[in-house]
Amino acid sequence: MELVALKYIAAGIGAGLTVIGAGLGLGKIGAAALEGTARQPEAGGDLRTMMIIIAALLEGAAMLGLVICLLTMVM
Amino acid sequence: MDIAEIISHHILDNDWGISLGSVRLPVTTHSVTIFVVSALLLTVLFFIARGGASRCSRLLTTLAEEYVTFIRDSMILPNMGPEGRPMLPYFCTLFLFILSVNLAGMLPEMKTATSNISVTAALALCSGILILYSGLKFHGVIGFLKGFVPSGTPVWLVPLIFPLEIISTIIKVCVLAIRLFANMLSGHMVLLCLLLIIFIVGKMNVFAGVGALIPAMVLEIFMTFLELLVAFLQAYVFTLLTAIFAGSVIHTH
Repeated sequence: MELVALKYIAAGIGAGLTVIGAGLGLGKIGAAALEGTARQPEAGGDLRTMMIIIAALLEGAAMLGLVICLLTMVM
Repeated sequence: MDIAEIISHHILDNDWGISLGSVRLPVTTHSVTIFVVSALLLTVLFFIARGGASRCSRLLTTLAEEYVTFIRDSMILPNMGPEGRPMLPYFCTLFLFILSVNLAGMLPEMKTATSNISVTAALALCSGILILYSGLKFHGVIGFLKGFVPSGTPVWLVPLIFPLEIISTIIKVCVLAIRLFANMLSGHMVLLCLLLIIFIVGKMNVFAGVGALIPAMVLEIFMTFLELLVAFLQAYVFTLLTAIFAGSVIHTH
């Protein structure tokens, strides 16, 4: 197999693994926020803000991985 | 055109620079978009700020007031406290600018300037300077540096914690830039790739390409709405995280 092809495979596998991790994390955040809101509906606004903040932080980490995958593919 | 060529044409910035002697002024699609958006915002906000008695201008004034109150009550006061009041104009500018540039990318013939790492790095640098400024203003140089070490840390742990905390603050600001950049870039990549599905399938078989048209367009419309949501969300998140980081520097523990 050519080494160029391995580069694309590496980028694809890396992107997939990143998305798996980010998906698990986002699912956990969403579940916790939903549960919290269901138990205490009056805290929904605060919980939503917190959820968005944590999801954004998580997304930042995931995006770091994805950018590296993209760079691997392009370079 | 080759597919890789289309993608790179869509994502990269095309540069038609103006040469003035030995100085070269880079005029790119992204910078033109930024200038157009800024000019539009300045014009509209100038007329809003001037006010007027007509029904329309009163409506716009109410809208602007509502917007400023939203930024103040949902971002500044909960995260930075009353100390953040003087920095309200920066946050209002930041949110409106990022939102407008993000949304400008959804218009034809415009590009999302926030999908350029230089633009988001400049925005994050401004936020970093604001965070530094607010730390220095409220605690002084010594107090600001002391704030990097949590109270109650054992003395022998201080040389370890101190550089770590400084690095983590710098990384926070860098990730602020990368988050906005990567989100806008990946969203537009997905939109483009969904369109390219039609051509890739159509190259194999023309009838299959026509068949791929409908699912691709449905996905495309769905992703476009998602992109509109993401444009709002990323502007909100960028502003909110700046407020949180500045607040954590002001109210050290």
